[in-house]
Amino acid sequence: MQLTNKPGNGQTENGQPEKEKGASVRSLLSAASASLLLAAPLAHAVDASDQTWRIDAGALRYSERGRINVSELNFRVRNQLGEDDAVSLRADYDSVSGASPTGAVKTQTTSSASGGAPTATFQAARTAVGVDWETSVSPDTRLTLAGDTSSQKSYGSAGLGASVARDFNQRNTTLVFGAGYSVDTIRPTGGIRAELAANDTAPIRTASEKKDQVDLQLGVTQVLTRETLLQLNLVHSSASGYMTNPYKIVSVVHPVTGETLSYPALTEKRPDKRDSNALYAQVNHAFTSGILYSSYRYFQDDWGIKAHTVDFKYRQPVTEELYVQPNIRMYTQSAADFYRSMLYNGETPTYASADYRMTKMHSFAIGLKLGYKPSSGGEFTARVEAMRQDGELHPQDAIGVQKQTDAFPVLEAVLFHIGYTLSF
Amino acid sequence: MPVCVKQRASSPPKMRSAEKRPVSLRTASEGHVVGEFPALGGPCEVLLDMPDPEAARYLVGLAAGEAWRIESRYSRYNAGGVVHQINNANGKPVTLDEESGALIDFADACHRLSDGAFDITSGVLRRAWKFDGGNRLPSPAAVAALLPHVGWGRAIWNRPVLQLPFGMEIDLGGIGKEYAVDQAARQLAAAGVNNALINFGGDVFALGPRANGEPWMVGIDDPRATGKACVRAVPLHRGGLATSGDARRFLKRSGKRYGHILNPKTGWPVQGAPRSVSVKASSCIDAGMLATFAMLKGSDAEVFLEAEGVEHFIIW
Amino acid sequence: MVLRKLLACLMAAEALSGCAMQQVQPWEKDLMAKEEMQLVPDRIEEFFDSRVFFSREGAFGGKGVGGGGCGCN
Repeated sequence: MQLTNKPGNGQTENGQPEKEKGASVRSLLSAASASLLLAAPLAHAVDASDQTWRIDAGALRYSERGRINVSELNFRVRNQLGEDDAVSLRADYDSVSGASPTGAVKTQTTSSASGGAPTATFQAARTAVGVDWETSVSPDTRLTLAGDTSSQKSYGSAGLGASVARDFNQRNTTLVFGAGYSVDTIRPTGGIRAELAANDTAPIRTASEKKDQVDLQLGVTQVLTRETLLQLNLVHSSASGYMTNPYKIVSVVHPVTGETLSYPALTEKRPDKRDSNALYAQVNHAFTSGILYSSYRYFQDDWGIKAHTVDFKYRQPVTEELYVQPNIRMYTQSAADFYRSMLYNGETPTYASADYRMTKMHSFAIGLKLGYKPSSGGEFTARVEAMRQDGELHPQDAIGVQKQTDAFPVLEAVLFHIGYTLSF
Repeated sequence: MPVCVKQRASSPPKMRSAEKRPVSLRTASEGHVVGEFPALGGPCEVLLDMPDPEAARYLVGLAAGEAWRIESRYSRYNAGGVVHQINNANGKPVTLDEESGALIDFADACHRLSDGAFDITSGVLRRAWKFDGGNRLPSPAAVAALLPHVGWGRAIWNRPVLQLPFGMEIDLGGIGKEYAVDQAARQLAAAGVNNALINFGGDVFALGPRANGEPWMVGIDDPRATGKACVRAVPLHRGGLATSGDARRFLKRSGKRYGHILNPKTGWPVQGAPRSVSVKASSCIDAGMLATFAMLKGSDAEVFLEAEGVEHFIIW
Repeated sequence: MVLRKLLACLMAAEALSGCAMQQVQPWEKDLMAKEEMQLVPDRIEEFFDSRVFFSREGAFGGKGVGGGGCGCN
């Protein structure tokens, strides 16, 4: 056996090209092979970035026992405008009807515990539209600008937002800075009643009220392992303006007997400043077949509300095309400093609200989602969720006959949601 | 310490139909992960310099998926494949997809670059030649009877339409394995891999050196003791390395050796061809074609490779 | 300041995750690339839920900024 071994003059050990020397077949061959190798697509290239359009559509029916019903339609479309830019449009329509607790205590002069909390019926339709523009500032930096506006008969809102996300550590870490500004306009039909004045005789302002809010976000997303993703977010919100709910009232009772007698209820009043912080943590963990989404939020504000929220969702594939996703959510909050289930006749508080959302309460929701992803594309989802809110039925500030009544309007609600998503 | 990978002289793959095909993973004493699976008619391996076996499993699966995809599309034996469809068109034109068209274009270019010596229609000659290490030569008449069905020049190729005259067949076995190596390398590169070596039955591509910067060491198989001994270890940092040879596939008659490389014009083996030719090039398919062209040059193999200025190893 | 405390918390968590974990390599991102592993896999579900809970609870936000108020009752 004879062995010959000639180092080529065309390539060094490290594959650095040297000067060509009449290598006709080789260079023609490599031109032919280059066009061959690029002809086949990369097998896994069929990801979302390959698709230009994405459409999401959803319909919601939300029903509270004895209270309100909401029907809502949501549609969004996203178009990738090339490598670096994408534009999304959102449209949302909802119609709300039913009765909402006013904040008034149940009883007038008797100690009967029957009957629900006093409510006010209303009907409202709302439309909202929004647009997002996402763009790559550099290969690892993305900027998102968002704007939206919504309007209903007595309430309008407009907002602008911007956020910058930057990837570090081989895209294992993403830092996000965001800022948002929104202005709400409140113009109830029939004007705004003077706060903490007798609900039926209060002077009425016809001018609208405004509230504006600035949100600042600092976030970090970290790929912890191949299976685990962590997100931490800190959002600070600073709101000022009219934050009273003009439809909510506070009952006035006799300071000893607790009877309402003929004292008129007062329109509530809340501070015109609110600073809040939310710390949000989310972990997505992929198991062999399913994915667990866990999140926790701590919220506190200078109204005295502290709230904890935990949420778990577990997505389990059943077949190639079908998955189920049960979820559970628990929420608890403390009362705002100015929460009063009732006022005693003769008191003159600076602020007072009997709105159940300002009191100590907790809520529990449990749901199940079914997802169907046919191999032909698209995804259908159907979801049902039940929710219950409980609060203090017999708060400490209840006196006299009010001790026998249920102060908290227990809420039971069911939510149905169907959705469809398609990328193409 | 460099890693030694045995590289056999490649043989046209005998493609298997889809059966249960496992991917096995082990960690070599050198610390790299070796993923092995059967594809394209032989053992295939992917060497990855990474500590995490789960990630390695995913990447080996990526490479294996590409090998199996190409095998199923371009095996002569797979009734659902493109080549089978072309070979059973009975003289009718067949419209090819993008990837198949590119492969036929490439085969067409190779036919031209080798002055007709490389010919994907020459597989028909195997009906006469049985390279089993024995001594039974075909009769000259049997070979001559097949020659009218050989010759790429008789095919009508207007991309994407290919029309083969009745009785002719194509065989992409001389391209497929090297092509699969390069495509698998593309997949891994797109996944961000830059310290890996792909070896599909002796056709090799390195996506960069080992994590410590050392080259992969590729052993050139001894054609006299194939699978048992290496005649040489070739360092490979990046790029393709392919070997063409007759290993066990030859005939011996009256002391004369008939290699399995056939001249499509005569139907007889190329005279004086080396036992094995290995070539290094920027891609595996370039290396494979240059090695094949050299074999087809017979005793001029070395002259050809030197004129082309490629790094090569010839075993006579 | 609560804000400062929260910020310190966040930084500590980040430092932990940065030091204790081995860097995930680009080719190990097969799971992360899946749509169901995104932070918000179903945007409409997210939207409906945030609307419902926003209008029924005292706390809000945390997931990001933007989006106008809704004047929910």
